[in-house]
Amino acid sequence: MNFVVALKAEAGPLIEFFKLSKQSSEELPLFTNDNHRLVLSGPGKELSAKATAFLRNRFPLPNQAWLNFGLAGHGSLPVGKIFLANRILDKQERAFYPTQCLKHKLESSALRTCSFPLSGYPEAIGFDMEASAFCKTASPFSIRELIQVIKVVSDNPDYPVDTFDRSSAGALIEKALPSLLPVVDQLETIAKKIELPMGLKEHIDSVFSLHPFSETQCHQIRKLLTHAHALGASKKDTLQLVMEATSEKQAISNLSNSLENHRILQ
Amino acid sequence: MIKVIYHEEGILDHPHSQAVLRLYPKATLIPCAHYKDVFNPSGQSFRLQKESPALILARKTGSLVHPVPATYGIGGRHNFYFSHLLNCLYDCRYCFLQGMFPSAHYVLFVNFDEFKNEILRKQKESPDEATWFFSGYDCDSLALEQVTGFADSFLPFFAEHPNAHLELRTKSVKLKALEDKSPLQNVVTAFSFTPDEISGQLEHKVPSVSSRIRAIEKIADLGWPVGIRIDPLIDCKNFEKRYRCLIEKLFTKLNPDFVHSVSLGAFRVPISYFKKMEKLYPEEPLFAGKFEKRGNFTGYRKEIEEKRSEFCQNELLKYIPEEKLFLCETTGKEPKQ
Repeated sequence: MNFVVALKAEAGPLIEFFKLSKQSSEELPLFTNDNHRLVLSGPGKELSAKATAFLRNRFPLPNQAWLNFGLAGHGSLPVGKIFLANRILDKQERAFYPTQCLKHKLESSALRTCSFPLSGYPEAIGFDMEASAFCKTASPFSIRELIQVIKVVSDNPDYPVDTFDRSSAGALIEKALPSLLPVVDQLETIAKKIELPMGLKEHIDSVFSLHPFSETQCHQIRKLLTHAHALGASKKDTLQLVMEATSEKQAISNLSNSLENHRILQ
Repeated sequence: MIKVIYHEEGILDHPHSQAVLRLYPKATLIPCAHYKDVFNPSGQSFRLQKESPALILARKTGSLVHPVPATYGIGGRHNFYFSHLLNCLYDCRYCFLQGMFPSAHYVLFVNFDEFKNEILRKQKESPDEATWFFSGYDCDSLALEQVTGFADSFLPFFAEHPNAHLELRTKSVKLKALEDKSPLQNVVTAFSFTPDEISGQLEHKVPSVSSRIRAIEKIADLGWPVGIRIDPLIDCKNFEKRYRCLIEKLFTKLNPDFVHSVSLGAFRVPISYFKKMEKLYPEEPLFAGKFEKRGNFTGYRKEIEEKRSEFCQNELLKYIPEEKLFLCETTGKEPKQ
């Protein structure tokens, strides 16, 4: 699970809750535990994009959950309200529609990412300075279902941004945390759902280690082992077939022949 | 249950949109400039979206009625298809839609009148001959009837234009839209079948084979022409026993005289769709079958395909005359270049 958060004050409650440790000697402020990674981007689109790319390059795992979390202004929601962005607008970019696949009780709202702080609230939607760049940068790294933006309202027409007391940021986020955490859990569950079936990846890796397969052969082996798994063949048997082979070519042929009679739907 | 409805700007005023909104008053409404902004982006997970698809209300522009592939038809010389809806309520593992569309959201094109105008234009190109219009190419024609009101709207239209013929292709057993109306001889309701054992494994969320047989029997009794689509043919253990049993069951219940047509379709999917389908469901035994690439398609090895098709043809010809049997050579249209 990857968090991209603009400011330390917004990230503090998350760092504390997940017991994230600051990593030293990193290009950007990075906090991690075994399953969660949080980067502090700083404010604005450019920094958000840079931090998102940094986190991806630092942990290059496919289809991880990505969450941009923090404070935002809003044209109609009350201060302290937490909302899930249902479309991210930006005058310089195409609109981004995060798939609304989460079961949640949060408000759902559009969010416009601006390059500069706005003086007013021209629409009844959210306003921030990072989300569009975060979504654009994260989208080549993961499926859209796993790229989400959640914000807590810090200011609105009744309490404009110039009256916002920065020292209250942590308290606003902390109050919103109980609503956020079930959504984080769901994102992690969804990310697990799209992984290869249980143990298959490890099995494929162990087969790869038995012979010096070429790229093309790896592709063939991966496909054969996936089919073997789908057809209910035992991992022990398929491993044995590859071990017994005296060449890479023979390993592929052994696997292929062993599956031939099973390639039929029950 | 639809929880999220995207809508093109300006489309909510349309009477069909209003009817949908009345069905789902609590749905979250999200505007978009064009349905493709939501539907088309790459990097969406069809599999995850299928768990709870959103509905997109849109207006279909450009060409609304298209010619069907030459090998697809049930006897007519002029054959077209149109799609008032993209995607399907059901989740059949063999369905080419999961390889063709980037998203599992339903797209409902609410401008039915423009579809009807285009259908009329096509029909008038050969005014003295039957022109066929297939409605279940990119969706199940009737499964979402409660939401789309498609049959309710189009059946009276086809009643007025007897030379325009409509095929409703479905696995639905909710056929109130037909039951409430007088039967039309230019509308064929065609039900797709695989044997029980295959349906149980591959046709998720689909009514059982026996309930579909009951449904087809019921509307045939009401006088509606019905069709049987054994499509796609799925290679499986005990193939002959299972398919013989299915065909027997169908014709024990149905008077073959009331069956307009029967078609057999091989399982053939454009290569790129098949790759996407097997990537979506790596644990699915169907995709580990004896397939090969032929031309632009992936299908069962030729000898298997021919043997299976021949067996079913022979079984079907025990019940129906040859002129009612049609062979469809493709499942899924080729990707646009």
